Amino acid sequence: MVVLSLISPVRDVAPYVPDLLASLTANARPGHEFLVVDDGSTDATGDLLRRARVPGLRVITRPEPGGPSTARNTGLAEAAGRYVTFLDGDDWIRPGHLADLVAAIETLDCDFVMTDHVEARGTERLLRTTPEARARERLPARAAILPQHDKSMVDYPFTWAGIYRRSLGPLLEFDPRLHTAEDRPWFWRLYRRAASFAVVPLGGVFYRRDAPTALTRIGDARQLHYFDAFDTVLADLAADGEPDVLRYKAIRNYCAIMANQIKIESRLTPALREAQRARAAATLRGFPPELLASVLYGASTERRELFAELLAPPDPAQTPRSARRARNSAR
Amino acid sequence: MPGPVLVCAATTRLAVAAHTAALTAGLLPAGPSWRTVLLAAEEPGPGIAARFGTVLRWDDEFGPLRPDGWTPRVGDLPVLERLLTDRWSLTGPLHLVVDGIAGLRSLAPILSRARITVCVSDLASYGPTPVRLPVGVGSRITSLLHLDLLPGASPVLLHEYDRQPVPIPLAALPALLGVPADPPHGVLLLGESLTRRAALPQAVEDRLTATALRAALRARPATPDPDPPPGDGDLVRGPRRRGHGPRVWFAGETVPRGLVREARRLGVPVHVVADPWSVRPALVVGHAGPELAAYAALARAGALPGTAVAALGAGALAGGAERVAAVLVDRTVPRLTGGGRIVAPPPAADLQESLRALAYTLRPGHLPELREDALRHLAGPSAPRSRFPAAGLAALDLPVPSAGTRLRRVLSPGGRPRHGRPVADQPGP
Repeated sequence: MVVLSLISPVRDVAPYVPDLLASLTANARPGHEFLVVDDGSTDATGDLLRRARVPGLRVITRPEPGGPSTARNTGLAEAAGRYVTFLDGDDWIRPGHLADLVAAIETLDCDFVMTDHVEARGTERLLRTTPEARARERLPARAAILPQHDKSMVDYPFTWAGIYRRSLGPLLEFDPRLHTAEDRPWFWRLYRRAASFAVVPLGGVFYRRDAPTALTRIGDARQLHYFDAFDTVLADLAADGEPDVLRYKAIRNYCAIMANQIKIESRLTPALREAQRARAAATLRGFPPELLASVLYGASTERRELFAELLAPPDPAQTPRSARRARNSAR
Repeated sequence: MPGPVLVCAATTRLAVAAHTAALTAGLLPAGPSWRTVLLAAEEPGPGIAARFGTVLRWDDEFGPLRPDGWTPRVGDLPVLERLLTDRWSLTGPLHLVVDGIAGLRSLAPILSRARITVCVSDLASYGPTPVRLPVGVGSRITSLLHLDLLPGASPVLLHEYDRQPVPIPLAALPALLGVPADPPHGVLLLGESLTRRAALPQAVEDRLTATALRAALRARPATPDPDPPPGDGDLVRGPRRRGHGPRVWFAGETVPRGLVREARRLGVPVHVVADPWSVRPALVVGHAGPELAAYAALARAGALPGTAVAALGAGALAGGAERVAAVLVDRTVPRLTGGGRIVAPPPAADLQESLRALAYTLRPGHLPELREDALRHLAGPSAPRSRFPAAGLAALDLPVPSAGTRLRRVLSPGGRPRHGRPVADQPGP
């Protein structure tokens, strides 16, 4: 009888596999299964996993990489546990953490349980609390999307910081088109459709922030998937007739992420920078004007100026290259 | 000791009195089995100390850190929580009462298990939440209590968290503050406190308190001092008019030189008191601060019979919270003119709406649902009295109110207008 299925999508994480396997070994117990999905690794990941001897470990190899969403879905399809949790290939967990997670969701008897995590950057350790901090209390999932004007649980979109009832079924599936930000629409849907959740502070998950293989540091087209991710969130809200207050929250978050991504656009290729700016401009124009104005009233001068720049009509005499030059010299 | 614990963190005497009044009125979730801990930054009166199981002093626990100047680093929170839990024996269920934003940024994130009551005792806290709260704090706030300083208005603090403000009745306050039962006599001048960031530069403060002293003496007819002191605490050595003229007290951390000079010039002894509640004046004059607001509220409620309260000129307006307090005082507290008249403000029927409008202009991103209130208020007659900054309104696409009513500028700092515009042109700097 499998109680817990842990799903770990990995791709080219050879330096971190030993830590991952040690975490799993330290959490191995009867009833726990570890589904590591090798998403088309080309380095030593596959070899290291093949040689691993961890009780409960099952390695599923995808010959061609499909992205983290597809990899997790592959794991979900194989998962036999009553509960499901996730772990990224470059992160690690405390001994006994999984048992604590299972105990929490069984005691509190809710659809899913979220926990805090420790950010690890070199030897630096920072405990990150969940925005909803009323611990060990069964709460309605939907209410955790708000408040609008402060961090809420949809601002804590970490699949590896939670344990979920397998019976949630399709709610646990990821959008295979999204290679980054796939957790955003996933959590928005979960908090809207699941009935109950709880928060438990365990400090048992360690999230590595300086791993060079982390997708967030890669500057290619996958970095722009957050547009599709948030478009999906907004489309879902509209399709389900959700109240304006949720839409406002989603748009506010969307604007914040657009502004932050454009701020760090230097790691993208010039072509991608243009594409991102064009997509941002189109997205901003697509928002209801009064809703966008409402968001902008509370935005910093820097952000208001950036959005004004994005929304300015393009100068027909200016080529993209001269526009870039003008922007760079203005900084 | 695994029992439930209530921790009240109060940084001023007024805040301590407010927390105690709330506790006595049953507004805090502390039953008979609860251990009660008071963490006070100023000395609580003996009457208050007796109501708490343990009384701790901020300086002993956290010194030299100041209660309003400390935001612990996120990385240090787990260690600090363990240390405080051990030191104060906080192993059971925990409820924390803070007196404002400072507590929400320091003790609240440290005591991560605690549910939180915010219990405010000044008008600045009637304004919008001025900063982003640390992660995990907002969700643990269970209620907002406030001294009932303005019947007809309640704080918009924490409005975005949907906590309905609950007023604390004022009746118990004079006893808790230790107000003496003497017949009211004399004049109390409330100065700026160094523990609050002084909103006025020193020169302006000097001029204001000098004018205030003159005006206050004119306002009060000469009532013989019922009990002339033996000479302690006198500010001025010189011809002392024993038995003539009202007693004058000054409460504040530093005595403005302007006051000293004026007192000397008039031959009036001014007695400096550390605690503004240790005297029973017939007239209280001061700036828009917590003590003035509390005195005004108590006088309005009839809890201090024979005491009149008047505000000095609002002066240059500082940041958001100070502006809120200044506007609310301007609308609700009588004004002391230079000639010594006490002028009552026009009735403030739309006080709550103007507060909401002001809150929106200060935090438009956080309170978008108050935009309607702002638009309605700015089109109305009392808008100029709310001192909206014109440039700020333009940035929010809000209409600038026409300055039909000249703002009451008695006892204003005077001097050159900052931007060279006529005073009646635009409200506020």
